[in-house]
Amino acid sequence: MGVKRLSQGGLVDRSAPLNFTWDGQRLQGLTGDSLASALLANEQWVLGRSFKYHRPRGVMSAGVEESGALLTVGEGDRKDPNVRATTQPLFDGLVASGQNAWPNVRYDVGAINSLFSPFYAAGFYYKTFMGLPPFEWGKGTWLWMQYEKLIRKAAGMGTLSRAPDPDHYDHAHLFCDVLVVGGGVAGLTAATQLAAQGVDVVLCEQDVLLGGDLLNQPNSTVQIEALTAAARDSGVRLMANTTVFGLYDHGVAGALERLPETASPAAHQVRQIFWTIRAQHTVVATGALERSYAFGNNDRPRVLTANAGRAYLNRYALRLGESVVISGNNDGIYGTAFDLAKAGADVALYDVRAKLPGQLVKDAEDAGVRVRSQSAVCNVAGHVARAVEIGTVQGDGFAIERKRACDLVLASGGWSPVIHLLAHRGAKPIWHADLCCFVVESTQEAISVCGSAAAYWQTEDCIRSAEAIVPNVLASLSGESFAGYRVGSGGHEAEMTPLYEAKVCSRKLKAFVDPQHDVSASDVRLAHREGFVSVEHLKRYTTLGMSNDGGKMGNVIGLALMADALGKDIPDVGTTRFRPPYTSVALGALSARSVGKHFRPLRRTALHDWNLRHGATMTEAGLWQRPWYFAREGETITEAYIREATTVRKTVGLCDVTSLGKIAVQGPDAAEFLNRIYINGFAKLAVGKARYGIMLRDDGFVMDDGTTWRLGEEDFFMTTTTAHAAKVMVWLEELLQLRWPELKVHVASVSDQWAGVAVAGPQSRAVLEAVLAEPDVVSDEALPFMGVVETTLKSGVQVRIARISFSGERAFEIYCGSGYAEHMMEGLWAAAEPLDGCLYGLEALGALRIEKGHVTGAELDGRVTLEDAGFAKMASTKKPYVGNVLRQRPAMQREGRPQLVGILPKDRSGKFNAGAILCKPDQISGHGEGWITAVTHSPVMGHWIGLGYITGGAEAWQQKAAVAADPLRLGNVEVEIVSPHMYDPSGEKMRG
Amino acid sequence: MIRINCPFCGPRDQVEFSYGGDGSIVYPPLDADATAWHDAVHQRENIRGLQVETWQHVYGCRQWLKVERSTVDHTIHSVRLAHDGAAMAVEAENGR
Amino acid sequence: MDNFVSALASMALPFKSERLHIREVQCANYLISAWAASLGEVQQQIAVQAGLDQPLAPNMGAGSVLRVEPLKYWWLQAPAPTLEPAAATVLDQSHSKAVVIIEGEASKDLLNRCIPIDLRDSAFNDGALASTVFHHVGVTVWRQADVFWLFMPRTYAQFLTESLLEIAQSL
Repeated sequence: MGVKRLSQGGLVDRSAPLNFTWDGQRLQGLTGDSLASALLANEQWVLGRSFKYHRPRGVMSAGVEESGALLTVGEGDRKDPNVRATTQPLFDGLVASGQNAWPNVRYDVGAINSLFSPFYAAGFYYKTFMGLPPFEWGKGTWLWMQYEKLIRKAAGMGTLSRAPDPDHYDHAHLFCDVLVVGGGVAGLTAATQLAAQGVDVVLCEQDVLLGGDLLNQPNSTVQIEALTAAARDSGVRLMANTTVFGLYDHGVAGALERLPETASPAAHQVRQIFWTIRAQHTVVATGALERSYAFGNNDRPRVLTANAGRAYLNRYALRLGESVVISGNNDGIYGTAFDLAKAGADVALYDVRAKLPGQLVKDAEDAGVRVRSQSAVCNVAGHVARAVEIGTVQGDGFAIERKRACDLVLASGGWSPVIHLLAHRGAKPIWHADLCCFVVESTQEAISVCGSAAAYWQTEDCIRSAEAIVPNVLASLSGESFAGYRVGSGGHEAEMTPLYEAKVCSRKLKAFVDPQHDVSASDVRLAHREGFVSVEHLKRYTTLGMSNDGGKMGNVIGLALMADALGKDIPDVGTTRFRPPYTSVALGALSARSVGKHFRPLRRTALHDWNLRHGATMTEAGLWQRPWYFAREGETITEAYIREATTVRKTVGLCDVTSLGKIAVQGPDAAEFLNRIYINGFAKLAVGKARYGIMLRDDGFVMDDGTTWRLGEEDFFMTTTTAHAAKVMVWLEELLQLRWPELKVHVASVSDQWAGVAVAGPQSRAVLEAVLAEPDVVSDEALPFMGVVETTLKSGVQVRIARISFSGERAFEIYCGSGYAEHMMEGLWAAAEPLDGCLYGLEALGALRIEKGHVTGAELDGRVTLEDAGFAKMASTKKPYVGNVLRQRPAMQREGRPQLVGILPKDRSGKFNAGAILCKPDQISGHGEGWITAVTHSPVMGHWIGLGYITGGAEAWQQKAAVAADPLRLGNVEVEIVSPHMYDPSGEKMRG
Repeated sequence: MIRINCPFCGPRDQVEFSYGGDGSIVYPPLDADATAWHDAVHQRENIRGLQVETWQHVYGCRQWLKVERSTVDHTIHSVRLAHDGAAMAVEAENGR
Repeated sequence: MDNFVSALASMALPFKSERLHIREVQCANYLISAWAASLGEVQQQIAVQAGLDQPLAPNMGAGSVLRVEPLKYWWLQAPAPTLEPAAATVLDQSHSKAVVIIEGEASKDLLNRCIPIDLRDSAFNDGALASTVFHHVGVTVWRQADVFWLFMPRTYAQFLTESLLEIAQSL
C-alpha cells in the first residue's frame, strides 16, 4: 500500500539491485538510492524514536536537514550512529539499525514517556534533578551527576563502537583560485564561466550527484548532463560527495569528501578525506532548504517537507503516497503537486494564501490537483499519518473545517537560504519579510553568493545571479576591490504569506519546531513565559537548534514563534550564529593519519636498530626513543640498571647520547655571541676546549645547560639538553635576527648530522684507544678534562671527541656522522666488551647523574634561579649576559628560596618517590618546604637517594629532620638533606 | 587558521609558523637598568586593532618576521623579514 | 661510503605502484651560509661553480644547489664549492637528511596528503622548492621536472617514510 516504485524515470538503476539489512530484515534497493529512499521503497516508515518522548519518527526530508531518519549504519567496529538516511548512499551489504529504542523502533518501551509529555517540558530534567529540594539539599551537584547518567541513557542518540576505527582517513591539502561551494545550477554556471576565463576552479558538492534541485525536477537529466559537461570541459575540478563544512580566515575552507563505501573495504582503502582548501575567492552557491511549519503531530511518519515528496518522486522514482495532502505558503508546492498528480496520486493542495499564483493553480488543476486557498493542514491523526485536519484562516489562527484521510502529508513553510558558511565568516544575516527568510547581503571578504543561497527561487534567476557575480570574482582575483553582490527579489509569482505555526483556537496540539530534540511550539512559549526571551537563552533552555541538524529546520520557526510571543518582528528578536561544521564530521577524518603509532612523530637515533639488536628496552624521551636499559637474561629493570651503573663506575659503559641537541655556531662573532648568551665566559675559551655553560631567559631564570666545544676560532659545537634542543635553536635565531642583527654569526642545527656515544668509566680511554687511528690523541696530556679533539677512526671515519663527564667518572663523548654510527659503535663495543664493559641506558644514566648531583630538565624546570641550582659562582661579573639584570630582582635573590639538595632516607632501607613534597616533620601540609625531582637506588651507596629543592638548601637542614610526604603512594618517609654532590664531590675521578 | 605571506617563501599556512610576541618591543642593552628590562620583558599593550608581532617561519626559511596583524579580524597588513640585512637582500632580489 | 647505514635501511624501498615510484637517494649536503653583505658575491660564485646561467631566486634549486633560506644554500654534491672564507661559512650536513625521490602521476596527490604546499604548476614548477611541515616535522620538497625530492631530517625519516608509504598504498 502507499509507496510505489515507478517503472520509469528517476536516477536509479533498476538493473542493479542492492541488498541491505534494516534492523535484521534483509531488504533490497536500487543503485542510486539513498538509504532513506531504499527504506521507503520497502514501506519502512518508522525508522527511529525521538530524543525525549520516544515518538515514532520517519523520513522527513530528502537531504542534510533530516531530523527524523537518524540511523546507525554499520556494525561491530565499523558502526556510525546518527547517520542521516537521506544522505547515506545505499551500497551492497549495508547494515542499518534503529537507535534510541528498545527493543526496536516499532515497539519501543520508552514511548511511555510520551504519555507523560506534559511533564517533560523544556528544562524538565534540570528543574527536577538539579540542585532543587527534595532531591538535593544545599549546594553541589553530586545527585545531578548520578541522575544525569540515567537520563542520558534514556535520551540516547545511538552508541559508538568502542573498538578502534579500522578505517583509514586522510588529511589532504588543496589550492585553487576559486572555490565554488554547491553543484546546483548556480554553482555549475558560475564555475563554468570562471573556468572559461582561465581561472582555476574547484567545485564541491555535498550530494553524490551534481545538479542541486534539478535532481528533484522531472526530466532534468539532459540539462544536468549539459551543465556538468560544460563545467568539466572548461576545466573545473568537480568534487561530488564533498561537503564544505566550514569557512575560515584568509580563504581557508574545510571540506569532507566521502569516498564510495563498500561493506568490506580493501586493505588500504581510504574512507574519507578531510580537505583543507585555500582559495583566493569563494563562491557560495549552497542553495536553500525547505522548512516545514508547526502543526499538530507534524512529526509523524508520512509527514515530509513538500519538496522532499518531489525529490523521492523524480530522483528515486518513488511515489510515496496514493492520497496526498500538500500544505504550504509558497509557489514551490505546486510543482510537487503537479508531479505527484501526473504520477497518478490523488492530490489535495491547501495554500494558506489568499492570492494564489494563477498559472500554477491552473496547471495543477489541469493535472487533477484540488487546490484550496486560505487553508492549511493543522493536525495529523495516526501514529503513522493516516488523516489530517484541515483548517481555514480565522484571525491569526485557524478553525478546523474538516478531516481528510490520506497516506502522505507534505508541508512547506518557505525556504531558508543556506547562509551557514557566510555566518562562519561573521556575515550578518538580514531578515527579508517578503521572502520569509534570512539573507546575507554583504561580506568583507572575497566571498560571493549566488543562486538560492542568495534567495533566488527560479532556475533562470539562479543562472542569472551566477552570471552576475562572475565579473566581481574576476575583479577580486586581480586584486581590485571587491564590489560585493546585490540580492534581487525572490521571484515568486504570488507573494508569500508567513506560515510558521497553524494555531488552532482552544486546541492543545503537539506541534514540533525541532523534532529531533522534541522541542515543540509550546516549549518556545514556555521559555518566553519563564523569561528566556533572548534567542541565545531560548536555544539553551529548549535546546532548539542543538540537535543533529543544527537548526536547519527549526531555527526560523522558533524565532518566529518567539517574535510572536514577544509581539516583535523577527529581526528584532535576533538570530543565533551558525558555527562550523555545516554537517557533522567524523573525528576520525579530522585526526586522519595521526592515530595509533602515528599519533605523534617518533624520533630514532642512528643507533636505534643497533641498540635493539643488543637487547635494549626502549623508553620515550620527548619524541625520542632512547635505550632505557639493556637487561641480560632474567634481569629486572632494577637489576639491569644497577649492574649497568656499577659497571660504569668499575670498568666502562657505552651509552647512546645522540638525542642531545647539537648546534653549530659559526662566524667571526661566534665567541662574542656565546659570551652574551651564557652566564659564564666563552670569549677566551681556547680552541680544542669545551666548557659547561648555563643560559638564562630574559627574566633571569635558567633556560638550559650544556657543553660547548670550540673547534676553531670561528667554529663552535654547542650541545643542549635533549628536551630543549628545538627551543634553544629558536632562541638563538631570535637573538641573531631580531636583537643583535649586527653580529656575524650563523647557527645551524646539527642534531641529525652527528650521532654520539658516551664512553664512561675508568677504562674509557682504553676503549677509545682501541678504535682510533691515532690513539695518542686521547692521552691524559693530549686530552685533559674538558679537552676536545677532531680525529679519525681506524677506518678513516671522522669523529670529534670531548672529554666530558655526566656520570662523574673519567668519560668521553665521541661523535661521528650519523650514517657511520653503527660502524663506530661496533668498534667501541668490540673494545669495551672484553674489558667487562656494558651498554647502559637512560635509567643507569639517571642513577649516575643523581649520585653526582648533575641537573637535567627535572631540576631546570623554568622556575629555578642560578642560586637555586647552585650555579651562582659560575656567573661572570665581568660581562653582561642575557638575564643578568632581572636575575638580580629581590625575590630571586631572597634568602631561603628552595635550593638544590641531595636527599637520603633516614632509615637507609627506606624509599621515596620523585614528586614527594618535602616538609618539616611537625608541619606536613600545603606546599611544604620543597620537593623531590628525581630518585634512584644508588649502586654506590646501596640505598635510595634523590635530588630535590628545599628552602635554604642543605646548610639550613644540617642536623634537621625532614619528611618526604607522599600521601597517595608511600606515605611519609623521614629523610636527611645533604649536599647534591653525593658521589666524588671533588671531581677527582672525572678529571683523573 | 590564518595564512602568512612570508617574504621569502610566499603565502603559507599558520602551521609552519610559530608566534613570537610583541614586535614593537625594543630590548635594552644587556647592562641596562632593571626598570628598562622589566618594561621590555613584562609590559605589554592589549591592542584592539593593528599590532606588530614577531613570528618565526620555523618550518620554512626559519626567518623571524615582523607581521602587522589586526587583532579584530586577523587581517594581515604587512610582513617583513626582521633581520634588516636579509630583508634588504630579499627585497632587492624581488625587485621591490 | 663503506660502513654507511642509511636511516631508511629497514624501509620497503623502492616502492613501485602503477601511479607512483618512490626511491631513496644518497646525496651530499653542504650548508653554505652567506652574510647579508656578501650575498651578492656568494650568489655569483655559486652560480658560476654550479654552472648556472643566473643566480638562484628564493626557494629555487638548479643543478645540485638549492637556495633554502635568504642567506643559505644546500650544495648537494661533494666536494663543497670553494668560497672566500670571509664571504660564507660551509658546514657538512651530509648525514643530516634522508632523501627520497617521488615520481609518477600520483606524486602531487601523495605529497598533498602530507604537506600544505601549493603544488600546482602555476605555483610550483620545475626547480621550485619549499621547506614546510610534514606531520609536525620540518621537511623540504624540491621539484625537478616532474620528479619531487623530499628531504627529511634523518632522525624522523623512518617515521615519515612509514606514513608516506601507507598513503602511497592507498593511491
